[in-house]
Amino acid sequence: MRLAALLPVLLFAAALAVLPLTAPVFAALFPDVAEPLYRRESFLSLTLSHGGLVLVSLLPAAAIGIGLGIAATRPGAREVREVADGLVGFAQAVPPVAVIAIAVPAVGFGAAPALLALVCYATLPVLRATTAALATVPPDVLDAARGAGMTPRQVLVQVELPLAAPPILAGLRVAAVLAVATAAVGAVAGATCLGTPIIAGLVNGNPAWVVQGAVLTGLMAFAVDGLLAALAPRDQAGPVSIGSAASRPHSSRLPS
Amino acid sequence: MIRFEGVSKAFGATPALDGLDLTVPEAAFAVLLGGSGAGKSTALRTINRLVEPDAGRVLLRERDVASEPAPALRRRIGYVIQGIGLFPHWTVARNIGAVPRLLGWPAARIAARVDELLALLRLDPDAYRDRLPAQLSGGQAQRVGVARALAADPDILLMDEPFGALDAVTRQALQQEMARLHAATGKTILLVTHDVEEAFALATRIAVMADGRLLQEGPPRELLDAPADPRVRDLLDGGAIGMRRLALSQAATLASPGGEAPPSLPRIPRTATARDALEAMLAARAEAVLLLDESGAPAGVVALRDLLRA
Repeated sequence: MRLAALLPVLLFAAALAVLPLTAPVFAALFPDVAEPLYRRESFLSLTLSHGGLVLVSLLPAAAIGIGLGIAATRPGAREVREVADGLVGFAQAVPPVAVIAIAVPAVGFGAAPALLALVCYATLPVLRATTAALATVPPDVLDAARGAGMTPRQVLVQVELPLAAPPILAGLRVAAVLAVATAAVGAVAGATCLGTPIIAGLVNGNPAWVVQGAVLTGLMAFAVDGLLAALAPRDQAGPVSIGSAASRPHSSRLPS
Repeated sequence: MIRFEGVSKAFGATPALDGLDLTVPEAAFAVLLGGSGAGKSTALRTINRLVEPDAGRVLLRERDVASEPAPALRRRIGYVIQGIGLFPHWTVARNIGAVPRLLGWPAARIAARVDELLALLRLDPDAYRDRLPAQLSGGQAQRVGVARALAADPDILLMDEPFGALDAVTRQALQQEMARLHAATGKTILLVTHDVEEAFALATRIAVMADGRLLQEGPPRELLDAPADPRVRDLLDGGAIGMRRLALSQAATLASPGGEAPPSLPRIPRTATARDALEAMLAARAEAVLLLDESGAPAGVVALRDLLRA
């Protein structure tokens, strides 16, 4: 574990602990506001339900993104590739708040439209990372794997995925950070999360609440990024780390 | 034995194989020789079904290769490619053990086989077993590539320009290694190359291809002496047809009994080729060389004019 990467996590925890005690500070900063501190729900329970939204949406996003990415890179899967490309293009063109707005008539208010938007948006970086990572597996390695008598599934599981894993994990990390930020928008449709104080603040003309929700959302995104960076495998054999392997003293290239 | 029967294959509108008929005898070191686009690699890859022919069939020991699932077929065939394609996330030992593991060998048997093959390819097992491919030179990596292909003791070995990316010194060392391995194991080897020198250095049979067809097949000497097609002559000549002929002849077959050989004659081993004999004469500015047997005793004299009989 790299301690430096955990610093944002500590910072976020500190903010959660200190914020409930800062009513006088916000009262001084925003003297026109009647209720300077958001107290409808505790910040901790908002954080937990925010984290719940992120977790519940990341699992299907990872499954869909990695699955679709694998399917799109199989030989002869041109249709899948076109569907995947179309999906990426469409989702990039439509902002999250629009997805939520469209989803509300279909699935009602609350967490459901937020989850739908989150799954849509978190899938994209995973899908893109998966297709890009699988495309970097050298053709000679694939030829050798097939020539050795591996079945297509064995080629995928034993060769392609291990070699593509580091960039795919990086894509998951991007997706998680994106999901933390996007989840806040879910408050528009009534999902309980760290976006709730922001929406409530906007509706009631209370800028102090907006600041409180925004600061916690931002710090949580940093915290998740730091946490996943600390958990990421550090020294992995594969295309991305050949440089580090080659820099070991006994690896200098010798003539045979 | 490998037999191609009217094998054709086109990639899009481009024909790669156009009715190839060819038989590679058992235990041969056969070389498929031809320029780029001749269809050599495509022909090789129809044997382990990395390419499926549009027409015709390929028989391996009288059995159509299409009659069993491709993965099972490939596990019985060694495959070495120019790009080597070692699995970069696996150690040398795991790379070599790839096919035995697919076949479900017990771990102890795989480990023993890995060490045996590393020693066979002249890589110290203790030093190389646990290395990653990124920690090998090009020549070492291709030695591991050959060891991987031999791991499950395959019936035949397919080699697609295996030494094309190596420097000249490493290439020659590995060519000698392959000749030794062929002599030691008696495996049928089919090697694809565009390098005429390599073909003559290794082959017991050469098949010359052009435009997806076979031009001529036979022992190297036969192709030199009686090219069936002007394209075969052009390909094999390269301005060196006489030297190639000498290289294919044993000096001992041209020798006359030594008798009173002057002591100033250069001396070469009896196993040398006629080309070695010529080189020794030129180097020493002598008109003959003395052959020595294993014990160092004179075993005949080869004179400059004897070389004309090669």
